[in-house]
Amino acid sequence: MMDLNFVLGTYLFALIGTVAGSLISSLPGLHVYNVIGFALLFYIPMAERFPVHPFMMTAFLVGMLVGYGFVFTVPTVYLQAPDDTLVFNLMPGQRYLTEGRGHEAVVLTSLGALLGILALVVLAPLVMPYLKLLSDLLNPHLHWIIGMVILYILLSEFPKDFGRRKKISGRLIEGWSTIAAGYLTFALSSVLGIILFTKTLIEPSRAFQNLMPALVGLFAAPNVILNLISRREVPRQVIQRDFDADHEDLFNGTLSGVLGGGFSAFIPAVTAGIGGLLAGHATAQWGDRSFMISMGASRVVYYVGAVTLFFMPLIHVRRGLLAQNIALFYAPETHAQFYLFLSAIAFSAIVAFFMTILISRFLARRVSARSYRIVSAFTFAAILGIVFGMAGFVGLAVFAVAAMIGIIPVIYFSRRSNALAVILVPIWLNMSGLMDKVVQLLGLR
Amino acid sequence: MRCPSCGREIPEGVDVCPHCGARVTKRLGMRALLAFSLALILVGGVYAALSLQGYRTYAQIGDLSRKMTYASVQVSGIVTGSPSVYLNPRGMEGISFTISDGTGELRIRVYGKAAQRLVDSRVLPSLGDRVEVSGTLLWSSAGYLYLSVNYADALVIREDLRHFQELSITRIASASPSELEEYSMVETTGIVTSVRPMEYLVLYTLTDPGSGSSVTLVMNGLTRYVLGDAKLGLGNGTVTVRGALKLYGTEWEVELLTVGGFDAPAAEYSGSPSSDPYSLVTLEGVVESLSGDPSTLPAPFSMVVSGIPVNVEAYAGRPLDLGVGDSVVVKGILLEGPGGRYVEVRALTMDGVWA
Repeated sequence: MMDLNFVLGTYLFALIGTVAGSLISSLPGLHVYNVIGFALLFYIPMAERFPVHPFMMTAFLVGMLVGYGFVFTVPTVYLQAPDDTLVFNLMPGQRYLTEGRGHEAVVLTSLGALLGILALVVLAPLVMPYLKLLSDLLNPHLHWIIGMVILYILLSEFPKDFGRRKKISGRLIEGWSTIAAGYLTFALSSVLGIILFTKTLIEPSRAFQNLMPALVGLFAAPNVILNLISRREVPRQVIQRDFDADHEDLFNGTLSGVLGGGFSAFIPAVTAGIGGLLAGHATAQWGDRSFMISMGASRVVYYVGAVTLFFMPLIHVRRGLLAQNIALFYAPETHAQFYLFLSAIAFSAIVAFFMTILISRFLARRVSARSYRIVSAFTFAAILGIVFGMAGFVGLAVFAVAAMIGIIPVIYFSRRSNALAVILVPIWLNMSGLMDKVVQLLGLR
Repeated sequence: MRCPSCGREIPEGVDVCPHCGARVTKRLGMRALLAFSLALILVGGVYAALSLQGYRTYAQIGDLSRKMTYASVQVSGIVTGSPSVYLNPRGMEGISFTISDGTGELRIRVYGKAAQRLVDSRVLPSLGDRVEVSGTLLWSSAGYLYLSVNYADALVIREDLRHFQELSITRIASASPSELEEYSMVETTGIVTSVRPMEYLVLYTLTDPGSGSSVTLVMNGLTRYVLGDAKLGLGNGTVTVRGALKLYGTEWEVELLTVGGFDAPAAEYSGSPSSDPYSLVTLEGVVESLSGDPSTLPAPFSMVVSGIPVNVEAYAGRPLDLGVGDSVVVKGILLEGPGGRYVEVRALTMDGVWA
């Protein structure tokens, strides 16, 4: 049975985790895998020296995840280095940044995250009875659902404008180059993903980071490289006292984000970005404001929702890396633990929300104070350092390949969502039982 | 006037900034952000309070219905359905028993690690025990409600409320259904005179050597799993048993406590083929003839060892690579039949054959 000290201890660990996760997540080029890697680095020495109740360690890890879910918006907007879940936030974020509204973009996305967490903690106990049924219903069909998501990504390249050249052949080439670039990105990302899923490129001691260099290369690096080349400058950033959003934006954005994040949390391989995009289409949502709110909500519901599924009594779906890691040392059992877990999430979310605002204010004042090329150079160096530190030279090589693939949609203005094939295609192939044949076809075995 | 979003100069009275497109009026203030945070604090606080309470709904079994599926409830009552164990090829899957609180009966299922923890700690429910149990109410595909328990501490067994009434076998055997109280705890003494292993449980006959009265003892599936088979059997001598009274038709039976249900002296195989019948004997010699295949247990087989016939019951011992001319050690009970004396190697005892 819980007592007050246990509850307060859980809050304390959630607080430490949130602050640590928030500070780490201010760095560009991170991925959630890194955050969990950092978390485990903290956990192992702590568990040896201070035998802490595993539930409190879980609160610490979830606090880090919540911190990451909120604060990573800051480097995404200011340094243009997103991860796979925030990649769709890049365009509106970039526009806001060039208008001096980077802080507003961060606050709107974080507000979406806060409302996403509010919706998650309120809805989780209500939908819990039906999730087991839903899980049983969906599990035999996951392969074709993921197949449909892949089809959606491929079809979303259409329609495109005609080219504007005089010759018909020129117009044809120009009209199709964007689509071809999108499909080339999809194909190359798929092959990269298949190689990473089937070959141990990165040494086993760093195997935890197997996918990370590719994801950072595909999503974080391209815009930073482009900013370095294009001599982009960023105007003075305004620290707003109030923000351009109304209740309709909040409602639409949160609804779409929660739907998208929930879908992503439940369906393997589908990440929050694409989940949010799908839900945005499904709810006919439009406009930058509600889009950024929805992306913030989708992202946290995706990350935190996956762990919440694991804490639901009798469901215990181990979706997502953090749930799988927590399962190594802790098995949640009771409703009381589930409610304390939700309470710790709510607490962490509030801390992470205000930390995001503080960190955003800090960066907003500095990002325009010096040349954005220097900022981009620093960002690129930080990304390289993190990739090298986490995955070594082979990791850097994978990063370089992925960055070259990731820059294709940036140059040809095709959709970056095609790069998500790096995760979607290998998992879809595995689930549909086609992986072995494809691996043989590619000569990888 | 400056745009509150991009900070650039804009004309007075405009609703939308001509530079960045942001709305100048109807904006979201810090007060709204604080309100959302406050809402989250409230929800988090409610959940913290629920977790402090253990989030249990105290319920009477009769009030439970299918509409309450997935509810977290706490019930209390007397164990009225024998504890049993679910096994799968990998080991134990869970423990199950039924409780009654006078308003109805409810099946309790303890799963996975929680069940294993109960077995390891030997804190296990017995028929007649008063228990308090918390869990999640579920609807079985077989059409009944049950309480799923996945936390060992969610089951509290009130061992302090066990009061054993000393009754003789004769008293139990002669009592009418209305004379004794079902599920009350008793302690009695006698000699085990028969063992009948069933699929999930073991039935014993406990006989009073003085009066010749007998009562049926029931070892439930959980006890059988926890203790193993070879603990209580023929030849244990006088044993004291503790358990709960249970009506089977119009006869009273005693179901042994799951843990600590009997005190039996260790069986000593000190007799020889010339000892009195029913003695436990050790027979050493050479296999002279063999009927059946000892390597295909659980099938029974028989043999003659140094002139004494030996019958090995099904499930008695392990598969043996045994042939005529091999030396063996046999431990069993000496019995007398129409063809003379023979040694019976019984299942569920310390009996056995060693090549």
